[in-house]
Amino acid sequence: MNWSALTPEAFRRELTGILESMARPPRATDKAGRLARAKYWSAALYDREAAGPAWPRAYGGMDLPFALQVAYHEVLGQSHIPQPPGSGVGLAGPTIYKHGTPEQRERYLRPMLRGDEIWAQGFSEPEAGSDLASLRTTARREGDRYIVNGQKVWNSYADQADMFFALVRTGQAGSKGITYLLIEAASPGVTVRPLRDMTGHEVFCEIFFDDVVVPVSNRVGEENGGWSIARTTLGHERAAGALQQAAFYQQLLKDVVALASTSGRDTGLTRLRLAQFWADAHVMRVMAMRTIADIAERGEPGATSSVSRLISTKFEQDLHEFALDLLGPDGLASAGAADSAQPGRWLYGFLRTRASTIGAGTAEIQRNIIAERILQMPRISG
Amino acid sequence: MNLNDLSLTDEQKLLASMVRSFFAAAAPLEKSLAAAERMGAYDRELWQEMCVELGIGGIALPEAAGGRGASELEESLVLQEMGRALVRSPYLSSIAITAPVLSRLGDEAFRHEVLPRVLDGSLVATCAAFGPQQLEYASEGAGIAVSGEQRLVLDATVCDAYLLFASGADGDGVVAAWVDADAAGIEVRSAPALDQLRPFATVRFHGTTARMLAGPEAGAGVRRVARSRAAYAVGAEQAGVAQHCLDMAAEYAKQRRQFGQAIAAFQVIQHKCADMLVEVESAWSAARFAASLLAVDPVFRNAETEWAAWAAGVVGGRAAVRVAEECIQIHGGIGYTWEHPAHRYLRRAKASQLLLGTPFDQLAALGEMVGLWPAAAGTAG
Repeated sequence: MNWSALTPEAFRRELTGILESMARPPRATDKAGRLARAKYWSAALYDREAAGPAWPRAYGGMDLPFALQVAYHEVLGQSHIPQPPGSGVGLAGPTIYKHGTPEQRERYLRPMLRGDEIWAQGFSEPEAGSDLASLRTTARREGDRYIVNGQKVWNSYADQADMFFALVRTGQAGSKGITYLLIEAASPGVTVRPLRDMTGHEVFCEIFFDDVVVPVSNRVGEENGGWSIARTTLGHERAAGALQQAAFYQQLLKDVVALASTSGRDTGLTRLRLAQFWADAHVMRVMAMRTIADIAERGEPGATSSVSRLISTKFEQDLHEFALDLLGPDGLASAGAADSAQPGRWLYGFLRTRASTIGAGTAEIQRNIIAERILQMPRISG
Repeated sequence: MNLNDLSLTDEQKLLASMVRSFFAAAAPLEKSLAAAERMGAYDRELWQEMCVELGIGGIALPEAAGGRGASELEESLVLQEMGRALVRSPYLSSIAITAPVLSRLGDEAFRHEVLPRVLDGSLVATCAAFGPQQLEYASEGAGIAVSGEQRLVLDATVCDAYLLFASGADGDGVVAAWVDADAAGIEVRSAPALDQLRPFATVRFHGTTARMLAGPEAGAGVRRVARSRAAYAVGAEQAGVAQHCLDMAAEYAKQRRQFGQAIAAFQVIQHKCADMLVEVESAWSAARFAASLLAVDPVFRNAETEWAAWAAGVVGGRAAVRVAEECIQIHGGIGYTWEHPAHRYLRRAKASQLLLGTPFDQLAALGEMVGLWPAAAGTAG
């Protein structure tokens, strides 16, 4: 299927047609069920050559031009199809593709994209969050093997993963002594423990490494050269999904507007808040468009891609809290009661979004980066 | 809309850069302040240069109407640069608001006579687009006469003509009317206000002869268009105000040393500047989006164009005020002095924000326009 030759309209039609022709499994109710459903869709898309919009064709992807990547995310976003399972496709995949050996690419990329193998990221540690370069998990070299000892934290999917991609210390302190390793989850010495977060759910894990043996052939890139390859991406993938994310926020706002009306708290004050949220959602949408236009035109996003995340994370926190405020005391019931489907959603979201400004880069580090890179201020950290 | 319109073309970048250099050289802030001190005057030489030589008079109007044949995509850049430089001129009232409204009003003869002079700057007009509509009209022979008091008329002390809105007796529709500034029965009362670089006055009309440009069924719509134009134009300008305040603050922070280092090395200062950048990008995004819709729908035929213009006003206003406030904060004591330009930007940001109405009314109107809740009876933009 030569996707890249299609016009955006033809592309959308073709892709939508494929999605509509696929059988839809029922919604999942538990973690195992969600994984099974995500794997189903991953495989279904892969088999129809409709997986991996930015992924190279040589390894099962579509390698779409940027404009079609945007269209892809739109169509998928509207289809309510789950994201590919695990953390591999967006992160490990690009690193292995760009910096891996031919053997590593052959062995890992296709099963990753199809969802046959689930990957979990092993970067953060209890003592190395924002200051990731200070990580302490060690990999001692012994001939053609590394012996790994240490602990990782905040690992999504680790309890369902087949493989980890991890940063470990092989050399001096700091970023110049870090190596990128691919570690089999079933290796002796690996212990995975689910981590209960403040919502009460267990979507994250900890991973403990006790003398875990990893062949040197599972190293990606050079020894002590892992830091610079760790955040490889393919083709502005996050920017490609920006419009769809903005559309998601506008829908979320619509749900809150409906809530204001049905909850009987439609007052002048709440209307002002809603109008302000609307203006913020509008700005997010326009910024996504500007990011996409900049990439299409110049190959690089401008400042909008850096600032968008600061806006969206604050937005989703404030909006969930506002929704909970609208419900007032009635919002305090967690999911479970017959009429609590709505309250449960906002209550859960209120708690869950506390992580929005922390995970995948804290808002504080984001601001440091903006000040340093865009405003050319002295480097502090991160 | 075309996504690409949101990015600047090379020509547009060149235009912005040219306009910026022009204002830096020809309209330094001291010059604008000196002019404004004289009863809200503006530098006429500068004005002619702007309208004719620099060519920004009527930049968005078609050539057939006497304009430059570009669009709001270019105009928004010009407005942004005016915000950056805080230029004292009647551009907002005469060129950005009145000219586009006027270009679609009245008979062809009138337009041919008046519009080119507005666009080349030889006739400065102001539109009563701000504040509640307060005037009344009555028949006078074959024409009409206007009476009452209209507040918030920009550049009233220096204009050559007014574009007004007046309601008939018994609330019988609203007309759009043209009044020469030297007509009989006009009393202009100005008072010092927050932003002396954007003077306005209360104008009293005592049975002043006026020329009706839009009849009682159409005038309310024209007023609505004028206000939406104002919202977009102010929003674009506010983006420039915000940008300059960020530039000033970042520059100062990198130079100012305390505790043995530049204060730009302190995290709180860096974070404030990052948050200011968020506001600046937000303001520009909203303004550019509105400009791109106006470029294809200059008469606000589509509901989207109207709310996009008001979103630009709302977002731009909030952004400019916050960034101007934070700019003063980052400057510390020196930012609080009269001599330092920072407060001029805050004055411009706040006054322009409030000219469009209270932020509460603006948000309420915006929410209604985008359908967040049902429209109340009797509300218009």
